[in-house]
Amino acid sequence: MAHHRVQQWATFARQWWVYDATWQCPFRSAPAIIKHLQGKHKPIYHPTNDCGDHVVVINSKHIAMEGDLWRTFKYSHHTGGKDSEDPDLETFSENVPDEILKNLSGQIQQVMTVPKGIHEYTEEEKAEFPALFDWPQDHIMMRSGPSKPKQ
Amino acid sequence: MASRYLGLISRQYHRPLKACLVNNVPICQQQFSTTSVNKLKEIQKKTEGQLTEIEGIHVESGREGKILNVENPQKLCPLCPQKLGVEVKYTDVLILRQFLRPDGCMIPREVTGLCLSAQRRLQKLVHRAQRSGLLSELRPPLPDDRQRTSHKSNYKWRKYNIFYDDD
Repeated sequence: MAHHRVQQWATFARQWWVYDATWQCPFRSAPAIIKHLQGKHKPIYHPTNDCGDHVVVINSKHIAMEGDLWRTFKYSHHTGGKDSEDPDLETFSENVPDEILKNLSGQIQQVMTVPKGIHEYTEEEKAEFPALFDWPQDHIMMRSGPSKPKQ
Repeated sequence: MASRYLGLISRQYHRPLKACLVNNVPICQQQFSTTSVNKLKEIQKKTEGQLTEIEGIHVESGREGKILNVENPQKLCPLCPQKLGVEVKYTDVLILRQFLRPDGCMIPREVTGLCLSAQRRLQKLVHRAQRSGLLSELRPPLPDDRQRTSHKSNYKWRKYNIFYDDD
């Protein structure tokens, strides 16, 4: 008979979660992170109850934005002053201290699937993948390799 | 004058092939033959002194036993979601690379057998895969034999990851 003792302790303690932000949309991963920060994933949640957890977001340098947003999106941060401007979104890289990494006890699931580029597949994987069509009869193939650049 | 010359040329080309003789040697000698299915032609060039031979030799396509075997009585095109059961996305780079040349150009649909709408859709998918840096190997070479150091550009916003969602 399980008594869920540890689950009970963890609910009343502050847990440390890790979230890998590679290829994740910041706007979509925010709700997933907020849920853990506010403690809404716990059954004892109440607005007056301070039961939130800690979240460590790693690889935030490698987040992804949709379409043209990296160029067009302005982070609304102006002070209302005369010379104030909306800055572009920027990314920074900093190493997480080991003291913090020691506390981690769980991982938040990523909201988006990470795509795999063609440079990440091995030659065997590329060769074994089934082909969708065969070359037509008497097709003349260019075996000379890629075309030369325009001078 | 130009029209007169054009007329002359066109009249010459309208003649049957047998009549195109210069000093009893045929100008254009074409031979037609049939070969077994799924064979490619490779053009080989040989030079011996002043004589240059250009020859088309049949080569195996290298895709034997790798073609996707799906029942296709309606003769749907290779990318049809009705045939595959799934709709191809821009992240399926192993599928997209089959329709591309080594320098990233698209192969014409007369060769691949795609329908027009599938070709248009493929064009969009390839563009998106290229923008998000997933087809970094299939790119034209840089001029002056320069080598690329990374698979992504380092220019302002282009160094960041991009995703597309509306397909």
